[in-house]
Amino acid sequence: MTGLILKDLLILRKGLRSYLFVIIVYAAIAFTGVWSADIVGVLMVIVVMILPMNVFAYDKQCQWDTYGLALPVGRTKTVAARYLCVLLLCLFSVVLTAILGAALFAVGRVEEPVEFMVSCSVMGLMAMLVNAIMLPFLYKFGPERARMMFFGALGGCVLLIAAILFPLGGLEWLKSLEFAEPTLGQATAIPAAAALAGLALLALSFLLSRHFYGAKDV
Amino acid sequence: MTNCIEIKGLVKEYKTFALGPIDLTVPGGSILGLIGENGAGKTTLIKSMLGITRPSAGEVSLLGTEPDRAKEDIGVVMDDCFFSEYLRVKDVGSVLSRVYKGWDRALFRDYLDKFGLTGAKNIKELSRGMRMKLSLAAALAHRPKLLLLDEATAGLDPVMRDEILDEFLAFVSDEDHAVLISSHITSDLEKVADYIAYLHQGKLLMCDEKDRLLENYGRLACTKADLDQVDRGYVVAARRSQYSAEALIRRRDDFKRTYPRLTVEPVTLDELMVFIVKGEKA
Repeated sequence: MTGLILKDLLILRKGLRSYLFVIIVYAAIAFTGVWSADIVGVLMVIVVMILPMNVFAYDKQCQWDTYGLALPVGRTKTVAARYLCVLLLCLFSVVLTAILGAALFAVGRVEEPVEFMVSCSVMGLMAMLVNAIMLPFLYKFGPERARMMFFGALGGCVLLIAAILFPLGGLEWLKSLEFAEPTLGQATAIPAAAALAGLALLALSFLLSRHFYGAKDV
Repeated sequence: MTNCIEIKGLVKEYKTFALGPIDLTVPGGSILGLIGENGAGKTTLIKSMLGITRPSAGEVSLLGTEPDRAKEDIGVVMDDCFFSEYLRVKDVGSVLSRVYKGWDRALFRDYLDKFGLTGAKNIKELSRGMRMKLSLAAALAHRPKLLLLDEATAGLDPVMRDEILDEFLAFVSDEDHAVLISSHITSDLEKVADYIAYLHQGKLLMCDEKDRLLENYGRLACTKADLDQVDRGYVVAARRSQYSAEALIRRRDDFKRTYPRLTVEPVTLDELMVFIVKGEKA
């Protein structure tokens, strides 16, 4: 199984380098104070959403599944390897965001480190949630159709949120909401809760993907 | 000598195509050549044997056990290189060394050297022939007992094909080893195969020892009038033009004794396939 994880990471090697460069550029801009530090976290979620899609697309391009199923790995472990790879990417993105956050805090670009930590864990949860929804689609419909469906569903969600917010006053209403400042205890509990929730979602998603891949005729 | 491949009543049904039922046995120490026109079901058969595609019915035993348990000892080369273009040649070794327990890094490097492949090269930069060599190196480097090869020699130059075929012959010198190779290059199979299986439109038309097959059948070239005189029991298929005729004849030696005036020549696997597919059935 480690072989398959390594394969995915090696395939993504070039893409990872490019995304890392983009993140560094964004982080540098955040250092200058032009943009908020939160932009780095949002960018991480987008990257962790795109990379697994790319792996599926590259695999399809070279028809890896046909060869992969001839290896002594089995379908369940093949799916598990992909999920572990996604989990590694999520972990990597959260750690990188936290490191950048600490660096930004050190130069005074992050005023509320506790808030940044909470936002960082929410981003991590988002990354896992997005993948938990997307991966079964990718296994069931393949990269092209799943990508269309996923972005269609994402667009639908944005429209739905806009439709709900519009009668309430839109973004102005959101900005007017006041949330209590999280305590240090809450701030340390939130990342743990987010990680657990993310893992639970990925576990459910894994069962669904395993079912789809198990029934697939390559 | 044990059987390395045993297939009983294998069926794979699609909406527009059905493979089988196939019964096939390949003993250890032998090479089975699988022939058939495009779309005959050769790749489907290999995929079904490995469980890549799920058979609709039938049983497959590889190396005396179910396919999933045998995969550690099976080397597979499909009709293309299935490694991503984003990988380097040496990455294939890094990945597969973590997949196969018996992966031999030194042997993989030896094959790469032998095939003229450079580890640092991107797969994207390799020609089709070089990619097939990489696939072969990957299939052999974990010291398998069974090789399943789908058009594995396609795209290779004659010199390299000859070397690879010698490799297969050395491989089956061990009585526990066997090779199933599907190929359109029937001259390769005439050189190395012990058995020939002929798939046509999903059905196994014949499966026999190659020597017996080539000794049994013959190509008769004669006039249409002569062909009309021949006992139909000898004629497998015939082709007639305006002035002449040719036919695929079974029981060649017997035929020669019965019709000493007529000329029957040994048949090649290519001719056998063409006659069966395109000839009029007797």
